Amino acid sequence: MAGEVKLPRLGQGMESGVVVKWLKSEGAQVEQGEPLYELDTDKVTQEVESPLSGVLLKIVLPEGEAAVGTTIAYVGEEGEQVPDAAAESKSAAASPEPEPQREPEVVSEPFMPAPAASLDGGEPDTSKKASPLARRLARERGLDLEGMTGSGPEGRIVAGDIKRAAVALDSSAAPPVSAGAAPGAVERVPLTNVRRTIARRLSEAWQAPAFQLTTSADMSEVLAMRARLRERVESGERPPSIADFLTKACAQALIRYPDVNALWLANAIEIHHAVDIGIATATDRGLIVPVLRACEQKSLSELALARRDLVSRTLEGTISLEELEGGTFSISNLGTYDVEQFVAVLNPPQVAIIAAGAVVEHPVARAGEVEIAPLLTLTLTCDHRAVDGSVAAEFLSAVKGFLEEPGLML
Amino acid sequence: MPTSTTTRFSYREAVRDAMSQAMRRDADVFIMGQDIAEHGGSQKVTLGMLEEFGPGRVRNSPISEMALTGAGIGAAMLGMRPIVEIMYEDFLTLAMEQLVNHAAKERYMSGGQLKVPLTVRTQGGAGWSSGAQHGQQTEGWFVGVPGLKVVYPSTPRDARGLLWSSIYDDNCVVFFEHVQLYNQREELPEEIEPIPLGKARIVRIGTDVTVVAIGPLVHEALAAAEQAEQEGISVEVIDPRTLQPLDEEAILESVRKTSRCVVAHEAVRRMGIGAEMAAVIQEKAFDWLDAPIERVGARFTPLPFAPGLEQASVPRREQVYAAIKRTVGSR
Repeated sequence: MAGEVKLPRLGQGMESGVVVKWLKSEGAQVEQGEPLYELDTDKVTQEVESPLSGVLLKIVLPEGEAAVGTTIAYVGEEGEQVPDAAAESKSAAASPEPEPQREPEVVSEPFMPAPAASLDGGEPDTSKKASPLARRLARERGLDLEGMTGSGPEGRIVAGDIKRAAVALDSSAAPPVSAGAAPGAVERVPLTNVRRTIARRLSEAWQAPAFQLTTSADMSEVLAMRARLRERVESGERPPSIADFLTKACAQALIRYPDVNALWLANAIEIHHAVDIGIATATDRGLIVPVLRACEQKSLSELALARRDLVSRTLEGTISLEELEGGTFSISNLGTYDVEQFVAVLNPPQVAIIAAGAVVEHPVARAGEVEIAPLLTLTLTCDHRAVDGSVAAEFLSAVKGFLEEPGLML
Repeated sequence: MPTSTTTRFSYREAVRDAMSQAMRRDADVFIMGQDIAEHGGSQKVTLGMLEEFGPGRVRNSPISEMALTGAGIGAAMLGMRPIVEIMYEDFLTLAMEQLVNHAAKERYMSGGQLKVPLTVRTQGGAGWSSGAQHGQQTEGWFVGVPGLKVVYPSTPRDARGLLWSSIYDDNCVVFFEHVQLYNQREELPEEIEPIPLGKARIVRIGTDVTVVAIGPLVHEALAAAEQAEQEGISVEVIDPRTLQPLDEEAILESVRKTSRCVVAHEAVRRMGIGAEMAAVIQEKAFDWLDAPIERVGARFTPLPFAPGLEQASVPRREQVYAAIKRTVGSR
């Protein structure tokens, strides 16, 4: 009997994915482990390997969203019968168009593809009549029931409505870039999976009672060390950047203050003694935070290499889902922009994130004299449920200390 | 494959065959009831058994359900496997004290020193203008008594296999037969295939709505499913067969697949076994439900004698079909 290719769970919390493209066509021979299709999750797009060897008998889901565990294709022996093939081909013959075209009334009646219900304070939307199944599906897909039309009895929103809405949403997820919109025109950009995830997670973060502490570090020593390193590295190599020094300083300080290297769980605070730092990265798909593992064990140059590799793969979109999970602390760095200071929003369940601006020369008063010093302004955001102000202050001054005396952290 | 000849059994003959085969095999098995010997019982289920097994093992009893049931309990506690026939399930009320306070409790209260391997067979149901005291469906009353098992087969095969398991179960089993099913026929092998208590049967596979039906409503549900199929609604039909213990997993698995459920029985809707099943489903499969669970059962009235009124009060195919349609809504 033909084997099923099911939509895999590629990471924690993954409930669904969007098949973007098949790399093999029906009737083609595939080997186990060979890339079979491209899958877009709420974080990355990646190639997924065939779990089976044989002939790709049928592609059930040519493209579009499906829940984890859904059968999306069959692989088996040449000429083998595929379950439900008759039903599939019947519906395909009746309407060769993809799902959204079959439900034009839903597509033409736009609804707000808003972030998850948790945006309004964690409570599900109870104002709409909807079946338990429909509510669950909406929750899992981050859809808002508001504005959706129910097709069930008494206008109840049922599972079919959610599925149609999700399909409509995904079909419009990659809108064509309008070449030269008319002045004053309004553009409506449907939310992509990445955007929805950003919205949901940041809205969650916004509910935490957060506080911020700000300090400035004199970066003279770091800049001097960088200048020396630049002379020593071989041609073509780059010395560690300011961001690498900052990552190293944070890793060292987190070892001293593990209370800041922690996760806020429902019933407990999970304190970590390995330092896995999330590096907030701006991509053309939106903000993505890959995780740099075991920072406490890496030398400055190892850290620099690993960070550069992680960021470049994130920008390319070739990063794997596992690399986006499990951070214990985050760094958001806008140093390459003309921004001196800003406040970062927590990256739950992490309890702290540090925001770094650009290194800018400032007049500073020292022993009655005014000097010019390159300053890096750091703002630490903490979840007050887990971290108290004094611990946060000690941690922040440790980071500052390492940056001002970089020899101490090497 | 062993070459096994099959015979066409009616539901009535299947019940009789289970009893006869058990009595041939085991001297401990015997039957008691009103008019069951020479007369063969009010529904002729035991017809001919007196001739084969004699008056010692096919015993007419006085018209006292309490005495009859009590005698069965006593014999069971002393090592026999009696089968007691209560002529109509309406008359189980007269045996209630024995069933509820003794048959269900002795094993528990003796700390397992005693057991009550008694089978109480009874029959009932509407459709023959029997009036308010001879056609009630009372299975739901017994499901609420810890210590009793409750079985309600809908086909000859299930009747024979389940009655066999009931006779050999070490607890008291109340076994419901429906008078309208006695002439249902099915090809069965000579050898009995025992069916374990507490296992549901998927009667029909479908994807859009699950109908959990018992007794005659299984057949009504199948007819309703055929009708719904014409409109593209795919109906799964499940017969729990045993109501206590109830095969919750089979029901839940089906409902999680279809997201919709209709429960159907001939007993009155209120406090019927369907109410319990609906409660279990909403507790354990709430997040899978796409529509309210529909209950199909008789109207809340004593069963009318007038044939037209009787028909109007008990559920049949039309009511199951209408409930299926309500669960799928304007899909």
